Amino acid sequence: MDVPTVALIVVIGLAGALVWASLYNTVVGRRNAVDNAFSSIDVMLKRRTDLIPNLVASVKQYMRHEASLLERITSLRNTAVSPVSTSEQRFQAEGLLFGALGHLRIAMDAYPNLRANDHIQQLQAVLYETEEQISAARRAFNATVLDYNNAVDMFPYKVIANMNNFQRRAYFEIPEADRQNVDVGKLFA
Amino acid sequence: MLRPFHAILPELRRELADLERLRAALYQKVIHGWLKVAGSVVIGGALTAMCLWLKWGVVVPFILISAVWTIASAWTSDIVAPRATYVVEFKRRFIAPIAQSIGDGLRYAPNRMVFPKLYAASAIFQPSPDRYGGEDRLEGVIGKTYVQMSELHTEYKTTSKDSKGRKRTTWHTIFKGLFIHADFHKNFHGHTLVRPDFAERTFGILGRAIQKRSPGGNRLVQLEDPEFEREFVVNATDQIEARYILTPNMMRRMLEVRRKFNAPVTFSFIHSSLFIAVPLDRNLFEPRFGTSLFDEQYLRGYYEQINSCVGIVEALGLNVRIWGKE
Repeated sequence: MDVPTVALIVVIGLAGALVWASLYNTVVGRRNAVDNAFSSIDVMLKRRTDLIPNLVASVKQYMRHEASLLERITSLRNTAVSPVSTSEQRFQAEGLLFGALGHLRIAMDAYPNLRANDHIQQLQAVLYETEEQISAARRAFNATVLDYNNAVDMFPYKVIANMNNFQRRAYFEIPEADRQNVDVGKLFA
Repeated sequence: MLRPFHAILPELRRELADLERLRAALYQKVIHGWLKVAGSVVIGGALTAMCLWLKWGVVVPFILISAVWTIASAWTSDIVAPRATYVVEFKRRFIAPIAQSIGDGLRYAPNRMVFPKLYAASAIFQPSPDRYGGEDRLEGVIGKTYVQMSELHTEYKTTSKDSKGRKRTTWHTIFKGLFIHADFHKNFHGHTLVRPDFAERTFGILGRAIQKRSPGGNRLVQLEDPEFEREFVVNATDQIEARYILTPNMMRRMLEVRRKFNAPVTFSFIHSSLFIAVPLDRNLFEPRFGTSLFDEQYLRGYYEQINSCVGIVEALGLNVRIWGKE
C-alpha cells in the first residue's frame, strides 16, 4: 500500500474516532444532566419533608376534625425520610404527599383561626414556594430526560447508546390519584 | 385597579368642560397663526414681486426679513406654544386624575421617565445609551406591587468621517416604546430573559438549532408550551429558576400580554424584579388638538392606553403573594 493511501486511511480513522468520541460525549453529557437535575429535585423534596413536622404541629390544635389527614401526612413523611425505605417507596410517598398536602390546604380554609395566625401563614407561604420549586425542578428534570431519551432513540446517537447499553429514563410523574381534581364536598362530608 | 370608564368620566366632566373651552380658544389661536403664516407668505411674495418689477431691489431684503420674522413669531407663539400648552393641560387635568385613582394613587409625571439605573438593571439592551429620553412616568403601588413605567427613547451614537474629513455623528435607536419595571411576586437571584423569537418563527427547527449554539453566558431554556416556544426564546442563568418563574400559568399570561400590545415584547426577570419592554411607534397620552373632548370614544382611547399599561400587574398575576414574598 502506498503512503497516500495509508495517510488517507489514518485520516479517515482519526475523523471517525473524533465523531464517535463526540457522539459518545454528547450522550454521556445528557445522561449526567439527568442525574444532576434529579439531585436538584432531591434537595427540594428534602426541604419539604423538613417543613412538614412544623406545619402539622402548628395546625393540630386547631384542626381536631382532620386528625386522620394529619396522621396520613405524618406517616407519608416518615416513609419518605426513613433510611429503610427503598427508592421506589420513597418516591411513591413523596408523590402521595403532593395530594395529601393539597387536601390539607383546602381543609385549612375552613378554619378562620388558621388564616389569622401569622406563623401558620408564613409556613404555608414557605410550603407553597417549596412546592413551586419542586414543580420547577421536576419540569427541568423532565426536560433533561427528554433530551437524553431523544439521544438514546435517534440516529446517530442510538448507535452509541446501544453499544454502551444506555437505557431510556423515566419521567418524574405525579401519581394518578393526585392528578384527579380534589372533591371538596367529600372533604367536608 | 382601574375603575370602569363610565364611573370615572362623570367625576371629570367639569375639568373636561374647562379643558374643552381652553382647547377651543387655543385652536382658534392656531388657526389665526396659520393665517398669519399664509398671509405673510402671500403678501411677502406679492410685495417682493412688485418691488422687483418696479426695480426697487433694495427694499426686497426688508420685506423678506419682515415676512420671515412674522412667520417665525406666528409659528412659535401662535402654532407651537398653544399646542404645547394644551398637551400640558390635557395631561394634568385628564391623565393625572385617572392615574391617581389607581391602586394607592399612582404618581404621574408627564416630563419624567423611568430611572436610568432601572433601564440598565434590566439587562435587556445593548449597548449603553448615549442619549436617554422619555416622558409620561407612572409610579406607585398597585395592590401589593410597586411599578414604575414610562415611554423611553434611548440611542447610541456612531461617529465617522466623510470624504472631506469632517466628523459626522449618526444616532441609532436602541429602544423606543413603553418600559415597565415591577416588583415580581417571587424571590429569585438569577436572570431569565424572554425575548421575541424571530429565529424559530422564521426558520423553524433550524432556528432553534441556531439559538442553542448562540454565544452568551445564559443557556437556552426549552419549555413545554408550544405556543410560548413559537413566540419567545428564553435564556437563563439557572434552568430550574427559569421554570420556577415561568410556570404554565405565567406563560399563558405572558402570551396574553403580547397579544394585547400586538408588539414584540421582551420580559426580563432579574433579582426578584420584572422588566418589560414594549416597542411602540406611537406616542402615548398625546391629545389630538383638533378633536373635541366631548367625544367619549376619543377619551375612552386614552383610558384604554392607561388600562393597558397598569393592567399588566393583574394580567401577570403579580398581586398573588403566596410564595413567601410580601
